[in-house]
Amino acid sequence: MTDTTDTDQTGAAPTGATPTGAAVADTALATAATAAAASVRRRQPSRSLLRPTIWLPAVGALIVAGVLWEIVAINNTYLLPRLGMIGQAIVTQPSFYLENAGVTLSEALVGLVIGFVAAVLVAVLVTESGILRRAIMPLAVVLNVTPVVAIAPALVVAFGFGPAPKLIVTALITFFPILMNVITGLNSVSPPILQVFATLRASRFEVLTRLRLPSSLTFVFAALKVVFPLSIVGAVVAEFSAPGAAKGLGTVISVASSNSRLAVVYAAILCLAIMGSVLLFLVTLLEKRVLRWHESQRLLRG
Amino acid sequence: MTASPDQIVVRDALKTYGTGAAEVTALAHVDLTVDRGQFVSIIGPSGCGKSTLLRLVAGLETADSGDVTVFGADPDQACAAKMIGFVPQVPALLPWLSVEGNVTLPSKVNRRADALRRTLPGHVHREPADPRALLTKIGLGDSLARLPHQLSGGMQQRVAIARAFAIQADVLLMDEPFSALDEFTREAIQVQLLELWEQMRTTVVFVTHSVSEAVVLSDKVVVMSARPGRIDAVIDIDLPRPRRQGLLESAAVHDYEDLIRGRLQTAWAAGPATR
Repeated sequence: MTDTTDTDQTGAAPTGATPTGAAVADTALATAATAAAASVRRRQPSRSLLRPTIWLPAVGALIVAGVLWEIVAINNTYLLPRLGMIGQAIVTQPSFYLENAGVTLSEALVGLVIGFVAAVLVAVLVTESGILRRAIMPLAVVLNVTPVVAIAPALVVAFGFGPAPKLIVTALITFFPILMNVITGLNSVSPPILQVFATLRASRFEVLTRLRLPSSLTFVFAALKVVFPLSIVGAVVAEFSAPGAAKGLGTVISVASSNSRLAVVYAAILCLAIMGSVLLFLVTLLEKRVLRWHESQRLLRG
Repeated sequence: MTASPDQIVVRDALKTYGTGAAEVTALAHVDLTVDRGQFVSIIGPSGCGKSTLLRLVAGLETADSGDVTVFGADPDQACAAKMIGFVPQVPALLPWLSVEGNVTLPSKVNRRADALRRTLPGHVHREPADPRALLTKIGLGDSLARLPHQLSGGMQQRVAIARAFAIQADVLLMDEPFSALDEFTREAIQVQLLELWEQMRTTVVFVTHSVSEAVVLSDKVVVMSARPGRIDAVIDIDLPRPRRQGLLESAAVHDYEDLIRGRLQTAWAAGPATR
């Protein structure tokens, strides 16, 4: 760990010094300092991943968890399948899991897109109009405090065993976190910036597209990190509530557990966990690309 | 009243905040005239209403009574015609735009402003400014593509000044723009601001709490005092231009500084210490 903190300091020192502006009369100095900081930043990530101090703790914890699992599983064969059995379940019929994972994933993602678009639209309406805010926000809050798990069976009754109730549940469960974050983001433009553009009489639409929406991006990504895993929860919950549904990992779990095929249950759960992790990883990657300019990313890199 | 097309006129402006016992008179019947092309500084203790006065001219606030005209137009029209360039205390740059993107953004919003500007009585035709040339003049020619967080505080504030110059505003309103900078940076930027101003010949109203900054930059220094906010003295600074570093150490500068400090002290002593 000592190595990392060292590079952190060399990275932080020049960036920390430049905002004081001592070097303004000498622009070249400031340029050199930020360039040096940038190069330290650029080199760091690739190197740090290979360092044992970075990956060893995670791998160690994983091994410990695996050993504990095996100890419990060997003594309670009817409660917990052994890791080898879970692996075998996947290896013997990979296409079965892939197909069902694909169904759940597409339900989760389509529902998420619906929830996302709706939430951004509502957030814009609510921040632009006080009347709409007072009309919509109480409804949104009520919707949020109602457990989606409780709504799911009713939706299945209303919309049947097809994809519709799953998309609605996923959209509902993702809607509120995105809404609240985007509202905060749209209001996060600093007052001096708004004053500058007020004296230019930029239209409300220009302020929205050029100032408010770009400012909200950091909050959008914070929301996405919460909401991507949630969307899978939504899809699985909806599949549980529609036991007759043909496909999906949620269906696999409910059918296999009623038949006491524990290895299949845990194999499906493993698939869900992997899916969630991959989605989270992709969002984080995208965030790094899009928010290069933002302080939070600089701190992570520097 | 006759609105002068070549002056910024504040006449009998009254502005209060709060109500009842908590009422504060930010501006008590203030009169101010700024001629076109002048560099005018407003100085005074905190709470004297100097920022409020600036914000009235900028159209960010409206007076309870009295008139404000900016080269014959009211502040609202002046803003709609992009006659006003505002430089706040902090750089207020958009962190996701490059230096060049930040400076060119004002010309991309409110595109109807140019047509409106031609119809106003105080209209003076100006060629549109070249943002790259402007940034080069202010010493940021090699930083066009950099992001604000890659710049020092002084460089960021220079970008904000270039942004205000870029729309060829008739008047630049600056609200203590250098107050967060250290002394070396501040002096360097003052010289650059003067050079740019001498080339562009814009009118500037500059709020500051630094006496030496006011003297070095201005044609006219307006001394204000607090509670209620009012103008105490208007002092013409009769120093030759262009003002270069050497001149600034001269005895004349110190005389003006002493004069203004004296005025500020009497203003401070005269006003009630508590409201």
